[in-house]
Amino acid sequence: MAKRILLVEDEEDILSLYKDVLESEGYIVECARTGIEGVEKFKHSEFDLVILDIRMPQMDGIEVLGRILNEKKDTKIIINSAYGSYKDNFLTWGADAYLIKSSSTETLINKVKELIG
Amino acid sequence: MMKNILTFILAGGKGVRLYPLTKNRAKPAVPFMGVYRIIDFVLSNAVNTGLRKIVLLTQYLSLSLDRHIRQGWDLFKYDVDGYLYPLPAQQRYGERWYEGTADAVYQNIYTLQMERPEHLLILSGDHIYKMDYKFLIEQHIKKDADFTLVALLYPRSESSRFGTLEINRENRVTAFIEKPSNPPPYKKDERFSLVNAGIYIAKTETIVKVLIEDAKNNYSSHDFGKDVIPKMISEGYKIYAYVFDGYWKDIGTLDSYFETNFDFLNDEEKPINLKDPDFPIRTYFPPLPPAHIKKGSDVLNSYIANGSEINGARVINSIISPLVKIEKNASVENSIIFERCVIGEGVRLKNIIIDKDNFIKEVDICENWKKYGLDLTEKNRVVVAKGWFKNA
Repeated sequence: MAKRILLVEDEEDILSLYKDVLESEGYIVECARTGIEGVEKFKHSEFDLVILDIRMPQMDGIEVLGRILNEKKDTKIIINSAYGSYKDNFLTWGADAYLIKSSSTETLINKVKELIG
Repeated sequence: MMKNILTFILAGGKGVRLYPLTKNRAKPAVPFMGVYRIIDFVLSNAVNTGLRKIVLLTQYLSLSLDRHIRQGWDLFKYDVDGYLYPLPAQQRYGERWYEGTADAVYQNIYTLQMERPEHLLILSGDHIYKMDYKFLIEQHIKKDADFTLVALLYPRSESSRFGTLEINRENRVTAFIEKPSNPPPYKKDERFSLVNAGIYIAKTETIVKVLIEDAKNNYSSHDFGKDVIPKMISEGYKIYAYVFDGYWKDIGTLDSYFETNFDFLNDEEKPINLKDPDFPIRTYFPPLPPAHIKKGSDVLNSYIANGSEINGARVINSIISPLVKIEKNASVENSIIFERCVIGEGVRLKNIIIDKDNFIKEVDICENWKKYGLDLTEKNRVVVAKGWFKNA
């Protein structure tokens, strides 16, 4: 069965790029454009993986991560940020991977495959 | 050394077994020995040790605890000395209270993040003991431990209700069992076992990782004793014990509350020196005149707090809190009377705990406790809730 991925990202360009790439790899991708939407979708549906941006308006990715961890599901989590500095935030240690956003999507796909196959 | 240490005091316990004393207040805010609150002991330990970054993690019914901290523990000027403040559960990651001791710390990772201390000292707000944590901290740092817990020497026969541990020659913890039916003996003296006192110090970086892992684990009850410590041992973390053989009491039940209070009335066994100028046990003292023992009174082996009046009554082996009035021909024996109670003429009290604001004129409440809707402890002590007998 195809694996389900929740993509939480506020930048439309990146969102559609990742969605296309991941879907072409055979994943089912659900999108959330704000942190709040991400948490809601996470609560009410089952995912194998969450890809989470950090800098978002309203609820940032760190808080989203805290709320996701609080739900105690087995879902894998990748933090995908343009900034390496958040790596130093204690809560980000709760994620399974931390990627720095780059122009190439190859690193992301490799990490997704490594985590959920 | 103390600058790199943040202290979390777990003060969120509901204290269900101390009901009705915990009906309107968190367990650490329960009065003790007339003038103290339970929390004063651990706070005094921390402050006397020289710790200056102290956060009390509170949740249930924290109003009276907050007020007490404001009144009695407003010691530090933030920029100069450090801080000591209560932090109510923020529910930052979901609408839930703390599930266990480990969860209480986990839910405050944000505070750790802001402060980034090298080590985190974790204390319980509901124990009565005197300890200079300096020696614990020194050992923890010297051994380069990931986690150090205080192990008490406890009579083996009574150790089953605790987490018990085994250590090697270097004090490294080799086994930890929560509430074992047959507690392992302490190698140096087999009459004793080593039990977990709920006093921990950990490397912040290590403990944060471990707590996040634990938070993700559905099968965990998020408790240091039940989940975190056993898991850390099995994963090979460096966990050491600091052996402590001083006085330590955990106020678990109404009877242990009663007996711990009375330990301090006992002349032979002075558990803690409350008059040590180098290690003062602080509290909030309201501005009141000294106790007034009037003509015709008979007072023996008792603590009588300021602002109280004994108006020709008999008081034996009892603890009388501030602003208590005991009227003519009343008799109070083996009892603890909380603030602002009035014991009316001829009232006879024995083996009773009376919470604040009770005006008692019924002479027979100890014999006929049932009639008055009172609670009884396992060891047949009567307990009167706050304001149960109103001023008519």
